[in-house]
Amino acid sequence: MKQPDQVPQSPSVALFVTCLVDVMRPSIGFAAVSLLERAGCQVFVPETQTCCGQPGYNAGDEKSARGIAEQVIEALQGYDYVVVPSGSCAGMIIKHYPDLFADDAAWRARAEDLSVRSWELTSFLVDVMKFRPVGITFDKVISYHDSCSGLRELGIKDQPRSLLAGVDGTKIEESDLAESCCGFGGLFCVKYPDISTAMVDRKIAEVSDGGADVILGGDLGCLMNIAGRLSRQGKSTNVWHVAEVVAGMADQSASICGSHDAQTSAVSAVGKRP
Amino acid sequence: MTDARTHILAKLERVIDRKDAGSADADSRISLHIAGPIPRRGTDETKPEQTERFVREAMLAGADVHELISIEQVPVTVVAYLRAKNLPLNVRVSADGIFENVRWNQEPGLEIENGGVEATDTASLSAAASGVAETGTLVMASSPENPAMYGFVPLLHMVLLPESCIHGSYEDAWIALRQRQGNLAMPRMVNMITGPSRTADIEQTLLMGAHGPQNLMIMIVGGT
Amino acid sequence: MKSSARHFPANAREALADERLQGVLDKFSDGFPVKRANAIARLDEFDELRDAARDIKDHVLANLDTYLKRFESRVHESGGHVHWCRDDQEARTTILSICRAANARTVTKSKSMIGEEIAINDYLADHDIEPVETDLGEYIIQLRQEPPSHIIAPAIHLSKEQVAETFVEKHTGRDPDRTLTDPRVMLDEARAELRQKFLNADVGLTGANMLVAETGSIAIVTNEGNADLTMGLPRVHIALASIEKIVPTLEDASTILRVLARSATGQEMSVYTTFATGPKRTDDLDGPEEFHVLLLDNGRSDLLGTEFQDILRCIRCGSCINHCPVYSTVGGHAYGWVYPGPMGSVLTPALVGIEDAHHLPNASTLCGKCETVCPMHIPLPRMLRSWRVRQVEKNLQSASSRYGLGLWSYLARHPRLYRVLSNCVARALNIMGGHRGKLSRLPLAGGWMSKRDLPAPQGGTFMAQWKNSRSRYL
Ligand code: SF4
Repeated sequence: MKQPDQVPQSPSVALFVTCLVDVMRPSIGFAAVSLLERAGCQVFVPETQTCCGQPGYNAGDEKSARGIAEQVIEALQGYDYVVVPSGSCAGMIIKHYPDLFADDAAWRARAEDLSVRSWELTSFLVDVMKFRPVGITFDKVISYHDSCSGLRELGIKDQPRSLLAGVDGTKIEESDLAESCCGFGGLFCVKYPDISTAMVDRKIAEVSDGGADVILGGDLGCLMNIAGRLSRQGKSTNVWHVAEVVAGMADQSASICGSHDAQTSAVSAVGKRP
Repeated sequence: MTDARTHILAKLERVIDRKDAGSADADSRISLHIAGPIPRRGTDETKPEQTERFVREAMLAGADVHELISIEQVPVTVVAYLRAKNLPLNVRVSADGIFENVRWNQEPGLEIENGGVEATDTASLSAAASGVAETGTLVMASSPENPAMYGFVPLLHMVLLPESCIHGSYEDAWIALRQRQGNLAMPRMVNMITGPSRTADIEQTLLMGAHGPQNLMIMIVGGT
Repeated sequence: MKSSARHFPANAREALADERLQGVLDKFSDGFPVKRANAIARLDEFDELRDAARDIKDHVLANLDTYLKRFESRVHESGGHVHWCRDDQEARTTILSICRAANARTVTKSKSMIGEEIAINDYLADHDIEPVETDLGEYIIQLRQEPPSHIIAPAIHLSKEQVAETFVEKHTGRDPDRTLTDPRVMLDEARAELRQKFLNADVGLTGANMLVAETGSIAIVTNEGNADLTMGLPRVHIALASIEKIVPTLEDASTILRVLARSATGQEMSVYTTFATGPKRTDDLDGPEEFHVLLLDNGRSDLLGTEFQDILRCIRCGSCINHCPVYSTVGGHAYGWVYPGPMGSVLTPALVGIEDAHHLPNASTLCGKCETVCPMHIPLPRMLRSWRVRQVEKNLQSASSRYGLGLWSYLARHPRLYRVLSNCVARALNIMGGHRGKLSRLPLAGGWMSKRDLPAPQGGTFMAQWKNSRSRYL
């Protein structure tokens, strides 16, 4: 696991928002910004960012993954830190970018420099900024899903739980299957939908048995998979990204796959803050 | 067909990415018998603690263990055990010197036979070369006196283990075995035995006595 | 064994629809992982041992030729024979000629995955020699004429009712109306049937978990004791081993044994670990008169020096399989060949060809669990990905995924265009989602939509919203 160096006074942080959050659920991005600012960071959103290149990389297309990685490395240079609200995209940048350039010393050095500066959101808040939320309430029984890449590539397990422990009213009901894969796997769930569904069903059944009201996690891909399946089954368990809850913004946007009726725009929610 | 050998070795020669010193390195590794990490439970204990651990671990693995003060207690222990297991009082006993002075006729009704094991044998008794405390494992070294099949054919295998032959770790047992063999090769069969035969192949139900013995009974004899 | 790996999706669908199998698999996924965790919790040095075990195998692979030659000369010194075989065909004919020379009519076998790999049973049967599997699980599936579904628990896919039916049907000398519900009774029946086979066999064929270069011994690990009866009772013993099974010394074997059973079944040690060295000696009362070791390459040497070399460290403990969420959903037969689960998805393409096994490396979420439980630190997810790279190089990916990913990568490298398009898509889908906040049908998204809803985007993209809000916000 990464160890933080000396942390500068109000560090500059580039938010790598990830393609999924960008398109599907901007509220996670705004929650991340809000948390980073509360933790004392100066937040920037580099304009030329797109996707981390994981779909191509995991499909074996290293050439295009390298092309995308170069573009991401360019976009994210010059900040004290790069923070990513997703374990798998953070893992891609931190663990796999350096490997992609095994045969190219110059790019490898740049990839490694980026790797050292990059953090997954919850681990950055806890391990680097020593952040604890204040004055946030979320009266729910939570089942936390440890996404595979975050858990096994980056060792993220305690950080989201410690953030949630600082939120009033939360109770975490640990599931035996917290660490087992939800069956998303990027293209896997599209190529092998039956297997993927069986995997997510097992997870959902275990959570329902445990009596949790909501499922939280740190990766939108997994959360969309879980929420999409819950919704298709007509179950009422709500799903949010952990950042939305810790930022106190869960009630400002409908849960994933939830009805938009209650939603106020995420932008105005952020805008309301002084 | 020698070309298969030549072919495979030539290919290996070609594709191996040699990081260390090659054959010299391999030879020295073999002659030095360098041990890997040995669990503390196998190295840090006194002799009595090792015995205690051996007993505990062997029982955890499903063996029955009896601690005897002297070899004279073997016949009565054997008979009591056979009776408890409802087995006939017939035992195939190894010709190991350790049993030389055992007075079997102390126990009327007990039938003792030496020699090779037969399909109809229900119980056997042989002598272990070592016991390893780490996991309660017996090390049986085959010889004309202690045929390997004693440990597999009958339903009950009884083993005599002198307390002095209990070692902390597998490594210590190998050292003892090499000393014992001197210049001789490895015994033909070295059986490490940890508990009685078992299977879980029918719906993961654990059952003892799959093909080998259903019961493994160990007699540890002190002071030898 | 003939591979049906190319039918993985159909095999998997069948497995998912099989309720009985699903019941067995549910039970399976709670079994071994818990036992393994308990065993490891009892041994503080487990991680140190894993590192050491990995290093032993890496050292062996870097000196494989030397160690094989050392092993060979030790076997010769102890009076045994060594047969080198390049491929499955050579292995089969070698075994057959040894059996023929021994006038063998029955061959008892203890479980050997290499035996499955070279399909030796069918071959012997075709040549009028009866092969009899003696591991209880293997015996059951041999009676049913099924392939194994797990490398250490070959009949794990069967319920006890199925075992009972099989015994009633195949154990013909017994009362056909007997009730067979208790596993103990079934075991006793199988034990009695097999005992006779052990005693009558002319040749015993075993695998080998390790080959010890120091002593020329083969090491075999079982819980039933069937391997010992297989090699101890017949006149001829043949051990079948692939070349990477070498370890230098008994000390090295001990290190590997310490991680093997704990990873496999959660036992501290398997019940029987046997080191067999050469044939029966003068004055021995039992043991085989002939001792043969087959050293089989069958594609292993092709992996040395490649990105797949690390799979040659595998000790076949099955831990990666026991912890694999895909395996525990579809079972072992779906994989279509000898080796299922993560290790199989790495090994099978190497041994039967990536063209045939193209699904296997893709049928993984790369969740990484396997690597964390592999006692030999084999980077299985990395190698699954490496197979995908090979597939891309060989143009084996489906056209649709190639086209889709190509387009995606183009867009990802053109941020301006990407920005505009992604915002349009987000807005369009948002409108389509309406108040429901989700979509249930969408062209080109059948894979996802067949079983799940898709959350509707919240409106414009984050980037667009951020740009609009920034002036106010900064
Ligand atoms: S890959 Fe690792 S975990 Fe899987 S069978 Fe081989 S050694 Fe065991």
